[in-house]
Amino acid sequence: MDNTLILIYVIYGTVAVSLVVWLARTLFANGTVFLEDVFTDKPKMAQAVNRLLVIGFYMLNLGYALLLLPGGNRPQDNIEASELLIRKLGILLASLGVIHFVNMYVFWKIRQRREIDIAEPPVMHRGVTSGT
Amino acid sequence: MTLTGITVIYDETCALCRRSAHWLMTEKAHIPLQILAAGSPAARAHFGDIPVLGDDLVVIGSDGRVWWGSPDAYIMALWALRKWRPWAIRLARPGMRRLAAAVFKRVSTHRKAIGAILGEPYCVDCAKRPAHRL
Repeated sequence: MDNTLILIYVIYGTVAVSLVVWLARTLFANGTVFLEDVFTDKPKMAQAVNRLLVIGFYMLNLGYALLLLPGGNRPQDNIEASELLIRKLGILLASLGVIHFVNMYVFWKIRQRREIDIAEPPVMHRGVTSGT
Repeated sequence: MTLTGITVIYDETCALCRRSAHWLMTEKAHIPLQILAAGSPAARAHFGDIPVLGDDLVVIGSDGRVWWGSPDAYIMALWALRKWRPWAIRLARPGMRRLAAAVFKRVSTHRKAIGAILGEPYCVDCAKRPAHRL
């Protein structure tokens, strides 16, 4: 069944890499919109933060996907082989989901910080004075 | 309009207020804070037209807006501080506002008594210190 195992690795590798690339590109495209809103006065900063976040996303996810590749019992037949493949992809997808939500949390935190920084006074003034 | 700084005027005749003024000065702030004693010549000269000066906490914005009393002035003082701005925003919401008003009002009314229990801040004339961390 060694050939089947290699086939599983090839399918897994292709799916994992294309999944990570697709996710990272989606993150990059939408992250730009998000961060440009946060760093309104510094568009270059938005690009830099976004790129760095995406690079981290690539390293973490590709590394994790590769680590997940080996392991598991040798499949004895085709059913076991497809089960192994599906299990590996399932673990990968679930982990990517968790990492994605951590990423969203980071974005949200950055935005929240910015909103607090530029917040207007939360209470109405009672009067106005000429002496300041 | 965005504020570029605020002035906080406190009642220097009460120990709790001196203590709080000192605390305000040591906290990191979003915008420059100027802290004045209500009886100081600077406060009298610039803000003598504010009727409650000395009776209650007064906060003056760089654009001349004035907040006083509970809970507005207290919320504004917190709003200027980095660590406390999220709390200021929370306390200003309708539900929390009433609670905040009650608490600050009570503390303000009994400030002399509370100050007597807590005692003096560890530096007596610290409120005169002009330097402020941002």
